[in-house]
Amino acid sequence: MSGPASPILPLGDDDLHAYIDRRLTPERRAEVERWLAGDPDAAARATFYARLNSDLHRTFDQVLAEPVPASLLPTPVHRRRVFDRRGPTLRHFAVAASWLIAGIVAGWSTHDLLVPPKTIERVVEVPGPAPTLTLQAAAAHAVYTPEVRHPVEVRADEAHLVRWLSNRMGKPIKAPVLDDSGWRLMGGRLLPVAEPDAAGPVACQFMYEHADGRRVTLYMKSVDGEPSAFRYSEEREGMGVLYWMDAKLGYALTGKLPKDDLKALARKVYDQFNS
Amino acid sequence: MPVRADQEDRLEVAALETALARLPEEQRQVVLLVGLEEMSYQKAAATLDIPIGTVMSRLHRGRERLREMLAGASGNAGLRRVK
Repeated sequence: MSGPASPILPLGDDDLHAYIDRRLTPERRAEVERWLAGDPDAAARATFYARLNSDLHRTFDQVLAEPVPASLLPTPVHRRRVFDRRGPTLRHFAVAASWLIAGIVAGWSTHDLLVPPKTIERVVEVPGPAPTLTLQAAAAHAVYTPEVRHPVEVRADEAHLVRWLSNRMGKPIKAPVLDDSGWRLMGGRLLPVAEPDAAGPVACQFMYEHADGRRVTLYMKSVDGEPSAFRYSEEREGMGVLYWMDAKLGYALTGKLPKDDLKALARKVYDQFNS
Repeated sequence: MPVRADQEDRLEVAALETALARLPEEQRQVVLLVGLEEMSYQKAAATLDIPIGTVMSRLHRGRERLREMLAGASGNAGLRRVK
């Protein structure tokens, strides 16, 4: 690290918010941290913003863990009107926020259990393949993400990537677009599935990279089973796996990310496969 | 597993609820989309069909207004942390 340097662009309120919302490049983040170290007023504001975000999560996660009352189900609401002006409660805010995102009534986080929109009734247990799924996904993640020269087998800019993986998997595969969250698709690879009772002989992995160098992988393998809820497990030190299943595929999103970040990404992946 | 809120927790939730309810709708939308749904600023702008500069100004005004209201409610500079 070098000593204090003048920022290339002047720092302001937008940087403070982007710092708290984790939307800054590492370089800009370091500049903001130097600013905050010497400006108690800005530091107090940043502290408040961060606590506000975490308290919103804490509060809404709790509210959304409760059954949604019938009176709130399900009035389609135009997105311009989802936030009710008439004495809204926290539940209104929370449900409205979900509608705004998913366009339908979407249950969201309890803690380790997330409920996809189409299975809003409490989904409690995940069928058998899930633990194997997370182990395989975590192993593939650990093997390939450190690669500098050959992180992927086929790069994202090669047009046949998705078609090739779909053909080998025997079902349509999509490569979710996560650029608006800062994750660029690098490419993908085919992987073997060893267990004898597997629903298919191959699995596949897409790899994404953030501007700061972190990588996440989306692992998919064929399954025969019922759709499941989103589940989270930490397979290795700091490496989280968020996984779920639909009728044909098991999905595992893996990375050394805060669980909430993985949740947000998993939701985008889920939405793109179900749009 | 949701933890049962204690009385102090309830007071904080009530204060946050009141403050959010008093926030102008356009600011509340952005504060929730960014802070709760963790949308990028670009995505929030696209969702609400407004320029990104408007997202940032509403976010700033909304968070600052909440800071004023919650500081006034508790006598502190901001929300207090409750475990």
